[in-house]
Amino acid sequence: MQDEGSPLAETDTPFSARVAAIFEGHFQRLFRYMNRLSGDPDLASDVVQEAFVKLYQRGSFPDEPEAWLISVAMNLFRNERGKRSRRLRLLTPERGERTLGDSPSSPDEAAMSGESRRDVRAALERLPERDQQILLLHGEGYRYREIAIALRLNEASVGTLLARARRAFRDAYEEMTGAH
Amino acid sequence: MHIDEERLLRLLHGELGRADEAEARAHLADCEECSRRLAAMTRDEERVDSLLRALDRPAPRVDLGAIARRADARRPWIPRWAAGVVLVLGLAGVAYALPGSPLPRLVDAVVEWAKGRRDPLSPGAGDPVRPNSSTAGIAVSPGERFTILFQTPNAQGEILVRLTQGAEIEVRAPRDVATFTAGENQLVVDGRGIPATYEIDVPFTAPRVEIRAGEDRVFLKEGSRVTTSLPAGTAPPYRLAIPMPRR
Repeated sequence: MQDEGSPLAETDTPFSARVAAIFEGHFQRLFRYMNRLSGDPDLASDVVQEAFVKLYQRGSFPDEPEAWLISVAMNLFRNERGKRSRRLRLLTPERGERTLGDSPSSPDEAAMSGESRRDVRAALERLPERDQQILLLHGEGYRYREIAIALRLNEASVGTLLARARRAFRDAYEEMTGAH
Repeated sequence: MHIDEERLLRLLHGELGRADEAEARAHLADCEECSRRLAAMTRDEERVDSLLRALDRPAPRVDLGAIARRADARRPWIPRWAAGVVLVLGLAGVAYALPGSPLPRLVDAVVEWAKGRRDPLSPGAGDPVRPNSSTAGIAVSPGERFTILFQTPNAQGEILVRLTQGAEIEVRAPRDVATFTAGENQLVVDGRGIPATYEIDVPFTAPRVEIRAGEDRVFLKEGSRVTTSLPAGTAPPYRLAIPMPRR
């Protein structure tokens, strides 16, 4: 049971209603973006949920909530990716210990990971991170303005950067697969 | 003069202003070259979108109420009284340092009194082997949930759990007493039948950390709530016996 006086206890406040609305319309889109970017659905789910937790904790709505959520999710993603890459840090050398980085894929994942997904992933990863972000954010339907705010770019340059990112991605994919 | 690529892309994405869009469409109506380029760009766009869809996975089912509860559980629990504690400590420090203050003698007396008693953490005869300079251990990010599983009966002795301000769970044991095997969201501690004290630091901020010994749960931290096998109200650090498996 929540404390009296907690902002979260007031479920009828405009804030809660607005969070519910943006969660409804935005959660899946942000998850898809983070999943495409990270290639790790669990990580994507974690960081997107955490971004909404932070929105709740904030207690007030940012001016550009979609861009704010993207930005927060990106920061969480960078932190979490760094943590997971060094997930096991030995305090002192220990025999019999294994690291997590090379853990095998789940059977489901192994079955799903076709050539196409691997090629697309590899082509995407050839792009600089900013180009990946622009490409994927736009692919999820975000407007130039939201992309510019989330990635701290000049809105006028988003179109040029997006065109370049699309071209680079297509070229990388074709180079890898020989497709034209 | 033809429409440049970026302008065509903006048209395709609906990012041109109304007047600019009307102007571009008027041009396209009379320009076969630009119409052809726009059509090629549309096909290219569809192809890239189609390729990217290969990366998609089903979105998880997430309850907004659970997110709200997580946010609520993490509200700052160090309220105004913390400032009061700092103030009192500061005043005590000033009083201690004042010339002629009786506090230094009082503190010395308390220290002497304490020295006469056994250090609650020092080993006695028959006590388990405690980690010292010859310890081995592992640090791991707690994630959203983490379980530490002691394999009994090989892992024997006790577990000393501290709540810390750190960011990682740290597990230590005397060298050559245990092996650690990490899995996703889990760490398995297997012993060699030697009674030992295992030390575990659990971050206050970890959302959920569970410690199990075989089939028994001996510690659970969920948000700010801690449940242990010890009597209710026991303050940290928690010294938990590793139960032997039930027959």
